[in-house]
Amino acid sequence: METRPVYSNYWYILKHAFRFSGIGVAASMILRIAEFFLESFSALWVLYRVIEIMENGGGFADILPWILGTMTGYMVYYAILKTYDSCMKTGCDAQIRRGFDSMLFDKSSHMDLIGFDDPSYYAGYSRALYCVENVIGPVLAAVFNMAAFVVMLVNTVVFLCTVEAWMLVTGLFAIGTYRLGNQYGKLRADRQKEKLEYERRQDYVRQVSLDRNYAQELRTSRIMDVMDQMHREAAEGKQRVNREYGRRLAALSFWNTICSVDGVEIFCYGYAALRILVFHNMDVAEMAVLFAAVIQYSSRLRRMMTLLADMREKSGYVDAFRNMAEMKSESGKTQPCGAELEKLEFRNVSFRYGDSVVLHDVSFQIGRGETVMIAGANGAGKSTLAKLMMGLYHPYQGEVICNGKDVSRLEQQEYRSRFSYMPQDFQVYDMSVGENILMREPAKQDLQTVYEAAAFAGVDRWLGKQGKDLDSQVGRAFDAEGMELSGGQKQSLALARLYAHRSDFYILDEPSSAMDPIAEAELFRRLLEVSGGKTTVFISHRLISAQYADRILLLDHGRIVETGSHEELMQKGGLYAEMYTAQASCYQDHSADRMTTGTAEGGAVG
Amino acid sequence: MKREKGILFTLRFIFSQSPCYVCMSLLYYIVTGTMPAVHNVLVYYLVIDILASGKPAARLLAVVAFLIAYSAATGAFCGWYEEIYSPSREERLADNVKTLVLDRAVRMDLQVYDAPDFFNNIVLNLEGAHVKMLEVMKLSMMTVGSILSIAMSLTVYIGIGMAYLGFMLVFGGISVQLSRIISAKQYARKKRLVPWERKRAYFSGLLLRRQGAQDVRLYEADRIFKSRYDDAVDHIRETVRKEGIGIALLGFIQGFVIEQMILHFGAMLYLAYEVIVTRTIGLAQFASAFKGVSVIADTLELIFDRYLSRLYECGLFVESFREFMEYADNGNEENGCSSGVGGDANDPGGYSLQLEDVVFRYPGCENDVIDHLSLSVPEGRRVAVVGFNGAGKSTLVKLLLGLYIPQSGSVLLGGMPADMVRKERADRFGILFQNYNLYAVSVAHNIAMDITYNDEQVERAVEASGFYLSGAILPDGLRTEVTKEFSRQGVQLSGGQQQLLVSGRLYYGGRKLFVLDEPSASLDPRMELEMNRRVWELTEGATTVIISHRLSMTRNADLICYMENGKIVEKGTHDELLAAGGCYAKLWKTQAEKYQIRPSLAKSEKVC
Repeated sequence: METRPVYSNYWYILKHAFRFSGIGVAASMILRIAEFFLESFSALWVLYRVIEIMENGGGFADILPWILGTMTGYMVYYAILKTYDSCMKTGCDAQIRRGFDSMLFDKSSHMDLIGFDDPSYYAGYSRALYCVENVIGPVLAAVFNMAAFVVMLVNTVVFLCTVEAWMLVTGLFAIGTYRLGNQYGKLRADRQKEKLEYERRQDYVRQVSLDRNYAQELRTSRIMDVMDQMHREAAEGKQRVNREYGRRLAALSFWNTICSVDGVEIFCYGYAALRILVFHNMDVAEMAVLFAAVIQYSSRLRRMMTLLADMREKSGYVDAFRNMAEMKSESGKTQPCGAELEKLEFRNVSFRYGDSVVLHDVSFQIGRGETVMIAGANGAGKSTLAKLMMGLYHPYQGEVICNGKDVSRLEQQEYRSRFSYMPQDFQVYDMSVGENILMREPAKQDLQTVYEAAAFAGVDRWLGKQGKDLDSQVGRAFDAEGMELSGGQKQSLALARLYAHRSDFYILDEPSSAMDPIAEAELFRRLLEVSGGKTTVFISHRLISAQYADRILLLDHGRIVETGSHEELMQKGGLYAEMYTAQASCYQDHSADRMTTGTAEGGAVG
Repeated sequence: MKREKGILFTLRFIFSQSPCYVCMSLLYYIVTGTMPAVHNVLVYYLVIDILASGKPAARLLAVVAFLIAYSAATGAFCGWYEEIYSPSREERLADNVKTLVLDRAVRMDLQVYDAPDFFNNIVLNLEGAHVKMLEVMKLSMMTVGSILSIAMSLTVYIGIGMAYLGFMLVFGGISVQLSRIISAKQYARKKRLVPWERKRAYFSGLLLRRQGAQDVRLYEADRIFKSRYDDAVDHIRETVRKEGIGIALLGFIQGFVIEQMILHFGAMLYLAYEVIVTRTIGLAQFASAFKGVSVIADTLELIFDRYLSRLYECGLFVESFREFMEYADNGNEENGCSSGVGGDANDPGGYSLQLEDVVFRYPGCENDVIDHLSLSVPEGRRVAVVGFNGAGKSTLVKLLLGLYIPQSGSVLLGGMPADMVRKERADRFGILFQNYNLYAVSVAHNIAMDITYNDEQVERAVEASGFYLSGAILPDGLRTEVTKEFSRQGVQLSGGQQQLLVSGRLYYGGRKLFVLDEPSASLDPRMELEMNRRVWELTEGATTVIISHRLSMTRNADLICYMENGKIVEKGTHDELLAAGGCYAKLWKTQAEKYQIRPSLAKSEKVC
């Protein structure tokens, strides 16, 4: 991972934030500077002048302009501050967030899908996400604070130079503090890093305890005790790290405090005492203001030091974000694919997730109008094969060829739109029913499509029963009126989606959740009704559906072990025949005659 | 007032967990809170007073000595608190909170998860409870520290004039009231924006995470996701802009008119008047009072703008937390004591299962999912429950396990009420759920589902499950962690391997009571057959309830119950039911005939 200098990362964030919300950045910056400036102006120049005037016997009228002037300054500042804070800040923040979000949106929607599935890819990506969510705000705040601090520092230095240039010596304390602060910051970052591993474990336990999917098992086993133990051990690990670093950190923090604030103060009181008591050449105004200036300057300095240490830590996340945002997008994937899919061919395709190889050297082809079934055990690589066909994944060896062109060089979005896909893990979103079917904002001419699809899949039936329509909201995450859908309703929504996206090439993955056989048979019937006559690839581990296929590809442990029609494979007597017989035997082994009488009667009555 | 109560509740809760930590923290925040007042007002005043009025130098030395001692003491205390004491206490508290909140959540009725509103509003807000509770504590203590700091700064004025002090208190009071109004308005606005914030987070999640990634690539769904995201952002901006003017005006009145104009500059003018016109105070007093005023103004702003408004923001969490604790305390938690079945696990009478006229409906639903259902599973018998999706089979399982409490009727285990606690369930039942989970802990823990386990038994269970035949390699044996989440040595298991490993749980601990919910749902035919064989072997002579809609799995059961609409409509053995020719026979026929049809025929059907 590339690491860039801290200033460069901060400049990067500032630059882009300004692009997304110029007003937001400018206003925050100016307001922060104004705040610091007004504070130091009134504590130094105004106090100095006022005391000086009073010491020299000036009247009330002489002071008034100073005080009223400053007050006017504050008035303008507060008017802008409160308006900005109440009416604009949240909006500007949201805009900045949107800007950075969309930089990632672009990347994430063009990144290979494998980026989400492979943990080693995902680590960098999730750091970038963390950056947008938790780091950009503090980074901007740090920049504004830093700018304001510089203004304040300049003001203080100018003031000290006019009043008592000697006092600039106290800056030496600041340098010492800086070094201590730096060391302190580094040590803290190290401690955090060491704790991270334990934090992750604790987060895991917390997540498991509240997650709906784990609820049943947690209530019927003692696994929560194991989780408790994991949490406790992680806590002990963190305690160990705390103990290891605690003393050094405490010592550094102690010296830091002493040097930065208290040291400066004592030095400056001593100096003043010397001048007044011994040399008798300092007046009260000068002294009072001097103290004020020095105290202000040193306390700000201390805050800055912690800020600097913090800035270094945050910079790492900005690196992760920049690595993601500046990543070259897929190049060379611009060729258009032919008008229609004539032939899809796999040539020696291998594919892996991380270290584990999912597909080995797979070769086959599918011609136009064919119906092909991909069969095989769970985890044999069936769904991965489907994703490779559509260019959702790309092989790490070999190639997928469409109409004679390498799929990885084609314009991806266009290529993918040639397929109608029923995924195993289809998602239903918290949008309207119609949008869930169409998957885009419905325009006027789309209404007919949505309506037909809903009617085909039987969506309109359950909608009608609940008194809802195609514009009704799905899900209750942010709409109390939304509908919670049952498994069957979701399934019919997915079918409607497929219907609304009919094409010349169908890929149908079996539903992953358990369905009863009749519902499953019904679903398959409907699926094949949609895809009738078009090129169709369907995936199933139940061989019942094999009868619909022209050809069957049997996958086992990532390899194609058998291919042919149902009859051919049955004759061959290999793995397929064994599987088919196994499945059928459950229904037949008891003796055929009892079977037939049973079913005959069943048919008569039912 | 509701929120103040909530905050007090949180503080009391932390205090009950760790009184020492609360006291020490209070001390720390008082020390750090009053530090500016000590440095910038008290010491400053003393030094200037001594120097300006030419008091003896010895007093100056005394002040400096005090300052050194004070700095060393506070520096050492703060360093110790920040780096040694507090991190360790925080850890311990987080652990306690976890135990109290999460364990309580785990003990809560499963039904909570089926009431989406309760789940969304309460349970989701408990995430990060330990962090938020600490924040509430810190914020309230910082407020206390700051108030003390103001009080300390005010003492300087005692010498100057009580009139001004009273003046300050009056306007300070007004300021507090105004700030309460502002915070309440801000909080109300924030609450109104919550659904929109959620919407924004939801759609950005779809665009950035795995969930929506596939549809983004297939349907270019990013366009609609982005447009929804934009809607949310625009709505937030619009709302903030429209409703902000009133808040801005109040904020200006409180921040400028009262705090700056009246309290800060008013004080300066008043002090200047005292110096120049009435000549009651000296320059030293003026300077330090001037400092004091600005310390007070700063502190007030800190209290109102940072601490209090943030505390109000924590209100949402605090309310959920309180509601949760009250909910859990009002007996909605599973009974702490077992109601009789426990104790003698070897009791031979203890393994029959019985449902008597059970009625169950989900909270907020109008229809009974289980409708006056009675079922008896004699000890040592296998009973299968079959039927379509949505017939109520899985609900029946949860009732049998005592995870749901029926509205009426009773569930008996060995003749005793079956509302038992988690640990007892774990000891009695061998359970396999349709949607099982594996945990990122060792293989052995995943099998035993307990901290302590018997190596030999675990080994035998894994062996019996057929897991080793699936080609999985365990580099550390049974101590190998499942997933690479926390260990590089961990194993990533394929779907089939996971299912086998999970089925190993049934073999552990010599169970005599099994509840199996769709045990072979996602297996391929060979494995399904194998699984059937193993399950049948395992449950020989054990009381077993098996739920499946694959009839091949259940045909050998001693009793088959066909469920429809929450009722058992047919029961009998496989042969009896086939002979009866009812719904079961029809279902069997549909499943079986798939294997009867000649493939060539099917093809020709399809073509026409």
